[in-house]
Amino acid sequence: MNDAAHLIGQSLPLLLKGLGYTVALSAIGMGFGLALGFGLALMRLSPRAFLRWPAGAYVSAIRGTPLLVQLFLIYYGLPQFGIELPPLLAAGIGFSLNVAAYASEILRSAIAAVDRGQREAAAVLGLSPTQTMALIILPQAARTAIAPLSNSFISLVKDTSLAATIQVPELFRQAQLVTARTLEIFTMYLATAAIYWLVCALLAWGQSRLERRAAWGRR
Amino acid sequence: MNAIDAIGLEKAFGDTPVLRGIDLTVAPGEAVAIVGPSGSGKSTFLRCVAGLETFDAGALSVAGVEASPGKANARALTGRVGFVFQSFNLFPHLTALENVTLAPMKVRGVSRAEAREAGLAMLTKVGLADRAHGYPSELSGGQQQRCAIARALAMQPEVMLFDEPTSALDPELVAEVLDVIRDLAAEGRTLVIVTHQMDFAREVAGRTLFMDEGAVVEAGPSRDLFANPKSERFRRFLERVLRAG
Repeated sequence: MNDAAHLIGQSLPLLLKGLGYTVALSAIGMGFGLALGFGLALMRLSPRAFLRWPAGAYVSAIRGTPLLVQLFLIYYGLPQFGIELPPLLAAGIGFSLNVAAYASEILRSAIAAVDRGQREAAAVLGLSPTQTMALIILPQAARTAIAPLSNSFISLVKDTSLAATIQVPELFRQAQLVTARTLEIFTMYLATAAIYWLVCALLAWGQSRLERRAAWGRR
Repeated sequence: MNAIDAIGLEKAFGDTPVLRGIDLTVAPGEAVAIVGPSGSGKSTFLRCVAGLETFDAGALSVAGVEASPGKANARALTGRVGFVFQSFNLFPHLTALENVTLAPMKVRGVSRAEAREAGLAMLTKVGLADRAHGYPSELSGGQQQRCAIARALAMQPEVMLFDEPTSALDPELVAEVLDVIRDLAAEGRTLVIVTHQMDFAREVAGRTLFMDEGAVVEAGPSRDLFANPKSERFRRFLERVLRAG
């Protein structure tokens, strides 16, 4: 037991360095993914087919293929066309593109679920379409989207471990390196799992706080 | 200038005509009621006037703004027309006061302090001053509808349109909403009220239209109209409504 504690203590700096990458990748993926996903959601809700169709095709392509394959295409595949991306950038792009597809579906359904009467009330008050979206529709859609987006975020944190396969020195990669050196396989991976769990538990806590804030008097 | 000038308004949903040439002129300060069986097109007509619905043919001018067929122009009216929905449609994520101050601030550019002051005055007017910081979900149906009225009034509209404002309310909450509308009529505001409350129409509206199957069947001063229904259809409608109590 002491040995295990000692080992973990010793490798902690490395694991924390890896955690830094994990957190950064998750934040980048979620941030850009959400922004891109919002754009895709608007395209899918558009009355114009030339906007709807490409967005639908994109979502289908991303959701229908493994994330690992997408990462390999970007990191190992693109160099064939002269596009060589450093690992962190390749992973950041991969996760953002992936999250965007899922987020767009969540946001699309959340926006569509806002009652039509809300738009009508905003229109007769003279609010512009942009104001209506920003001040009336999105706050209500966001509430619906908190739970499924939190799910996506938590999945993403764990999925960033796939970046180990494209040379990103994130948490899981660091754990692999340490185990290769020390052979304390079970202990190290258990410690790594615990760190992932901590991050996800923190996100779940954030989710419940957000949900409480968006209760609007319904307690 | 009239508050509302509608001439020969026509509209169809697909192949089904819902408005077959509606004429209505409302002078400033007038209160007009529209009654009729459900499906008669009265709500659709009101929604056309508010610019929430397009119409296919005819001419429409509301608060000095011309509307053309095929174009829903609610936003072009920029709050000159207040609309009160059957289902309130308050913004659930905003408090009562925020519901009332939003449009004056965002559309008219009124300062926050000024909007709050005016908003509180509006809420006081509808008897909701003490609930100003409550969310819609914390208000009763009657309170929500009164808040919705205050929200519309805050834009200082030239015309107030009411689309069955008490139909979604529990019976005991109807009176508090009707009282507010009665006060507005007494102030000399221009009102058009689609309603199933015949007594209220007779009492508050100087003029009443009876619509059936997308057409105005009878129109005239409310007292005469209800006392002496001329058409068989209006007579039967009144009988049915009165029997239902």
